[in-house]
Amino acid sequence: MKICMLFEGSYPHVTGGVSTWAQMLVKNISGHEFMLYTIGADNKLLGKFKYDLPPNILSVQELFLDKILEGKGVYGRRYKLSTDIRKSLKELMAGKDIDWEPIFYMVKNKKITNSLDFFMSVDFFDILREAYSEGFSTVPFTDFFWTIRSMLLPLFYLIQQPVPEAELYHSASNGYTGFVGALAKYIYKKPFLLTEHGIYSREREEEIIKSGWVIGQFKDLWINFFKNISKMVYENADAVYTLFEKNMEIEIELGCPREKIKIVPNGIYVQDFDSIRLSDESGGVNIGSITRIAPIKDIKTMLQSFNIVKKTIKDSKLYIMGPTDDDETYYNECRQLVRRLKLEDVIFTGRVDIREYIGKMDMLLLTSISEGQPFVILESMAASRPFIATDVGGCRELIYGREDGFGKAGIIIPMMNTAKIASAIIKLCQDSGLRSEMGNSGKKRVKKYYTAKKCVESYKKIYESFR
Amino acid sequence: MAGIGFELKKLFKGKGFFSNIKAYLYSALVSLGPFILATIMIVSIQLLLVYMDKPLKEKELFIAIVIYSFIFAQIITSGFTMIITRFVSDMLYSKRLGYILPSLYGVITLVVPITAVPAILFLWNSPVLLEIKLTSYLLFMEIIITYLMMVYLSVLKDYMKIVKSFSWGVASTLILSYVFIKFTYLDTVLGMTLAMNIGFLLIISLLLSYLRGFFKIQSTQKCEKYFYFLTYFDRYYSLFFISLFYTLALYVHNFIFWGSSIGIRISSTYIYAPTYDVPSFYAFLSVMPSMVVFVVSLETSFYEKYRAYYSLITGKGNFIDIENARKNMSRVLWSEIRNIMELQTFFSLVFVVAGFYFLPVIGMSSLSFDIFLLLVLAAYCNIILLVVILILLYFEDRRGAFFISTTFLISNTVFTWGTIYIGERGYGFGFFLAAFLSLIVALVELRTFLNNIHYHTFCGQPVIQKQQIGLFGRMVRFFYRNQDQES
Repeated sequence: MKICMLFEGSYPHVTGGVSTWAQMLVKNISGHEFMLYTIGADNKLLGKFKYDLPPNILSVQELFLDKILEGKGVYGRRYKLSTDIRKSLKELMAGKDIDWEPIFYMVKNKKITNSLDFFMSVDFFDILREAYSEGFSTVPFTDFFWTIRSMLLPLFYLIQQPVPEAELYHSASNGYTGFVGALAKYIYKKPFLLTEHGIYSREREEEIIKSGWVIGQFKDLWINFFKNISKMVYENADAVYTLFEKNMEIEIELGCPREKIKIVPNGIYVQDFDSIRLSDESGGVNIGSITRIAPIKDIKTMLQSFNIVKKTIKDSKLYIMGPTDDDETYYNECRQLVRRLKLEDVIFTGRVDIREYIGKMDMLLLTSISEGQPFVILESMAASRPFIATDVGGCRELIYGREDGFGKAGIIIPMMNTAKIASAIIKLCQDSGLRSEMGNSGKKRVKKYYTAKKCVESYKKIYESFR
Repeated sequence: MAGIGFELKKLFKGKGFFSNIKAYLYSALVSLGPFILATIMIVSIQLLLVYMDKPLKEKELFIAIVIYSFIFAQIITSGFTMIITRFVSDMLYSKRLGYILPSLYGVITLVVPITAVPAILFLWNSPVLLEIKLTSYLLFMEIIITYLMMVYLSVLKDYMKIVKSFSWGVASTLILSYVFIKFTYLDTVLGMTLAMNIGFLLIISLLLSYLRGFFKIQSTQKCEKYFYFLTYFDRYYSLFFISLFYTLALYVHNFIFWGSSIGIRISSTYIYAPTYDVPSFYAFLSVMPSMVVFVVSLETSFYEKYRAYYSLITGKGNFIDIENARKNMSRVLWSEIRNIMELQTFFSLVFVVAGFYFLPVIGMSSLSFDIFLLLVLAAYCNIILLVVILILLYFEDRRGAFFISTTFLISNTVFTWGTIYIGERGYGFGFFLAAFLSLIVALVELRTFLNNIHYHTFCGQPVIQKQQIGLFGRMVRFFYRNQDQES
């Protein structure tokens, strides 16, 4: 069967949870052929794959959103849009309940061939003005105008790109690729599956709330926009898969029918981590964090917490292992923070071989604001290491288990709480017995529930059921 | 995790800016200067010749030389002056004063050689005395330079300086003409053109020293990029054609009559059609006062509403406020146009009445007088037409302005051809019809534009803000590649 898999900002250009999962699937499900549809931010990544693509990948369609910036619109074009389409577009702008059918119809019948022309047309302006007058009439019009334009631009760019024809569509996230998947289902009348690792609209919401460039009163507009897309994708998907129960609950809250959702956890090759033994016997306590340096991982809180730890545990070291080039500004801010706190023994290793470094660690740590079901937790557990993680995503389920009798594999801490994070670290530093007990619990849990084999088998069955 | 689309949008947040574009107006006002200057010179030298009792034939050749120089200088420079008007006002607005004076040298260096080719071809086979050819050529070039300089002077708004320089020029021309004719053996036409050469050289020198003085004090940064203004052709090339087509349309009816049976050839070189040209000259005099009044009135009442509208858009205005500002602006604008129409009706009537008494006295034929009456009406339409074009340029509706000036040029050409086939009773009707039709087109365009101005203001700007570098931009970059590396 020809399966079109859709990725946004992940496989095969960027490493990370979704990419690891995707590589595992396509490599092990050799009975099917895959076509990749990928959306990236930066055109520089064109053709630069971080993974060796297995031979059953037939094609990779790469789209980059910064390509939009190269476009040029012609001013004054007119469009014949039915009242249904105009109404749906208006709802899309205003962030109300949207009837998507007319929009899909519009895309399928190529009513708009160049989105930039459309954004400069009278029709667009009229629809925008109606949306404005119905609920926004007190906000600055110019700001509203530019917000709507920039909000819709990536979406309209994507819908004017061709979607490959396949027998099954499987999107690895909600959002833009989810939208394209639902669109493909409408055009080709083929089933569409969604696997959501992290909850897309929640992640966007967090970004928007924090972002400085979205003006206060337009934050809701942005948030609703992503919520609307997510909801439409849930409604159109034939089945929705997610990694853990907490995600499922959020998805239901966001408008996904409960009966569509199934939980399929991530899996790892346990044997790769099975034999790692503690290799650093220098005496001090090594705390490791395998993470890219990015605001969403809240490295600053991690540093602040370690600053407290350092006051009690003098011989502790913090290894932050992962790429620093993801967000260089943030990385520099973190380094400045280290200097300002006069914090010693913080090591940014850059990209490293996890298996080699896990051996040196006494415990592992994540202080993220948002997570799905982190592979690093599974891998550390497979290597019998205790794990301290914030109470986000599926971390609690992994570390404390779902009443499976294996016991705690680490400590769950509230996010952004330096005092609690520090005391959890100190507790584990001071108690090597607890560390090994937690390590063993983790290992048992991973072996039972979170193996690659289990994950692959689940998706094999799912694909077969949609044949 | 997945999800990148959002970060990208930082790039779109830039907004366009509304620059100070009042300059078009002053430029239009000041461009009347050379026209007035030409009139004064011709009239005073004519008086001088009458006083000194010189033959009619020499008078005719001299006037033809002067009129040709002024008309073709105006046509040739029209496109360039519009572009540099925009350039100079933007440079002023963005406080890059160092770029202004070099662009004057640049545009002169560009236009003079371009014009030299047709001018030399035109004079080459003429049986006119070689010395006269030389002085006519120089006069033509000097007038071109004067037209180009007017743009820069309009920026300073120091009209008295212009009047003073012109007065010195006229005075010295008159004195020198008298001296050359009375005390030397020079050919009369040669003597007078030579006097004009010197007079214009004086005007140019005075104006240039004034401009240099002004910009030297004002600008600290040194700039050697004479041709930097060429980059404006990439974005504002339509301004070039708007102005060129409009100016061509002003004269195309005359040219067509020159080629008709009423055309007369002077010294086998200069053709003209006095039956048609003389009344058209007097008709155009009738619109001068309106032009001045319009500039003043637009400056005061309308500009305030215009600013209010755009500051609501760039500021935090909601749509109702913006819409109200639009209505206000539109109301004031139409009432200004009505005022101008009323005022011009008065002036046109005065000219018709005055013409009725005076034109026969100076020997105008009844055919020419009939043409005069029609052309007063045509000039009336034409001045309102110009007002609308300038307003549209205020609003950056170059598309509309281009459409109007193209309509004006084409309709004038076609209709004037038509009237020549109809014969004498149609003379003048072609230009009137073309101006009337174009005025209707212009008013409809202005009305439609003002009704849709929100759309034009918002959607006329590119979705993605970026610097477009076109052919001229690349050319300029190539020229100055060494300078850029140094700085």
